Amino acid sequence: MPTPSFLARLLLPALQIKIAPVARFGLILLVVAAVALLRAAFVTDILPYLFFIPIILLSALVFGRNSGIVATLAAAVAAGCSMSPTGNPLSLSVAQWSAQGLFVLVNVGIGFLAAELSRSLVLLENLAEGRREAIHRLAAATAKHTRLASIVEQSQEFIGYADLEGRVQFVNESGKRLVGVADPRLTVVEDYFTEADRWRISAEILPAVHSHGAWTGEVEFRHFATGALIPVRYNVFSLRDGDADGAVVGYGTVTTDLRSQKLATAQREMLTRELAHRMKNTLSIVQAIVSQSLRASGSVAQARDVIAARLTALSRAQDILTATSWTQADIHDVVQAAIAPHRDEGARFVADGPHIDLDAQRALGLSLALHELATNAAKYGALSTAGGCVRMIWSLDEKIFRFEWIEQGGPEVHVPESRGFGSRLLERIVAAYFDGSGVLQFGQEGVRFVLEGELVSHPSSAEEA
Amino acid sequence: MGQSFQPSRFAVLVVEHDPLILTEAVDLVEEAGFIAYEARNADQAIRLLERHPEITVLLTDVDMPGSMDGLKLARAVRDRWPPVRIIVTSGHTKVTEADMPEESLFFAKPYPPQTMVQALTRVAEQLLR
Repeated sequence: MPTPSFLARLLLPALQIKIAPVARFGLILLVVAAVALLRAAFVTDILPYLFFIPIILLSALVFGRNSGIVATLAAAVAAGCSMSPTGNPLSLSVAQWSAQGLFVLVNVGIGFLAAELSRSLVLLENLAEGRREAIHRLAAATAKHTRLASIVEQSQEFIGYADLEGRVQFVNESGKRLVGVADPRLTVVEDYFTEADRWRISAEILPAVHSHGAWTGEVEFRHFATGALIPVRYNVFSLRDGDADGAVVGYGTVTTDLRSQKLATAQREMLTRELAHRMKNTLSIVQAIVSQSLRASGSVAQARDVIAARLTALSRAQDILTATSWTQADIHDVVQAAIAPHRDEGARFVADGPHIDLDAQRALGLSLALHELATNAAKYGALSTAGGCVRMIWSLDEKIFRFEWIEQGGPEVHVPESRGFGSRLLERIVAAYFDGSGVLQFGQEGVRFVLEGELVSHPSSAEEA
Repeated sequence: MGQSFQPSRFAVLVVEHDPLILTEAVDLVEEAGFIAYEARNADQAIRLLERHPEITVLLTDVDMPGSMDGLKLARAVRDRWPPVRIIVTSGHTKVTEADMPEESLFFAKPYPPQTMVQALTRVAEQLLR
């Protein structure tokens, strides 16, 4: 843009002043009279016109052609007054009349020119202003479009459009990455769908777009390079030229990748199935405990008590496993949980052994064994007297796991006449959990139980209970 | 019930990884009067079948560690010992007939003991015919 000239900078603000024609003419006459008086008072009689020319020029520039004419005529009258020996502007010599005529003619011309110049300046300024506004509007519109384009380009969604024949015209970067396509303009909409879903385009999707303007649903895209299936929420709509009333020129899409969502759902379902299975298994174990306890019990009341106690032991073991999402349990935690009810009643225990991770099944098995031993010790063994105590010592040497329960300071114990579920659990069932043997000894010192089996301590391969 | 039906003439192979559940199932089979063999995985089960031709019923759980689960074991037994009757039990509700060999029975765990005894008895009766 050219910078406005000095004249334009002075004149343009003055042109903004709006004054009624009568006031304008009055103002011009006043100025002409004032200049005439000043001239008469201080200046010589020569150059009668000179001082009026700037007034005429200014009048024409600021107020226009007519004001220029008024100023010229007023100046001529004032000049006439000063030139006439009588002071009457009409009693002039021929030469003076000629000068008057010439003065009026020339200055009316100057006024015309000045007025035209002024109008041209205004016109030019208006043009410049219009151009500035247009450039601003264009810049704003361009910025808006650039931002919209950035949104499309940088969105995490698959955004693209195709022409009415289904030839893809554009796919944003996220979209290209999602399906692994390098040049979308070489593809058609069908190419993005799996074989199994392609029929839906003409049968289901396009009819909906034609009648409702849009379609949204879950379909599977395929990866162009690997062929991998990509579950997506496909949203497709008629793309109109310009605004909502424009003619349909193609199809637009904003498609969401559903892979992580599907994965999360699948994991949740798997977890639920896993939990249900675990619950069924636990119920089977409960059924076995109840059934075995009933077989070995003399009365219903006795059965009720032992079943309740065994299920409580099972429940405590499950608490430990729940803390580790049923992967493993530290043997210390298992031991402490199993003896806790007896310890609360003042029984003395010594537990000594390394930290070993037990899988869920073995943790449950050892819990049940310790429950049987402690219950028996409290009834008949070392925990039935004030001075008795129980030592638990375990070790893991290579793969060989050894666990000893040694009662000391209790009464002499004898081999029971009938072997109940407790002995069976210790000697056979718990031994089986450790793929080894369980030996229960009764003697003067008290009960001694030795469990020996194989244990490979790697938590990641923990089996389910 | 047939005159000549004597459960003790039939041996049932119980395959279950959990020792506690295995013990209970073996007790149940023995209470019904059958001879019981027990295995904690498919490999043990196959070895017992090879050694004891008197085994006529396979009662197996589905989940077990090792190279074969209970369903694979059932199909292997159907191939190698076609006369052996198969009963599958599982805590998985998703086990369907399609997963099992033909004419095998399925019991969801935990199952009522009496129902299992009746099923074993029926299977043994069918074997007599």
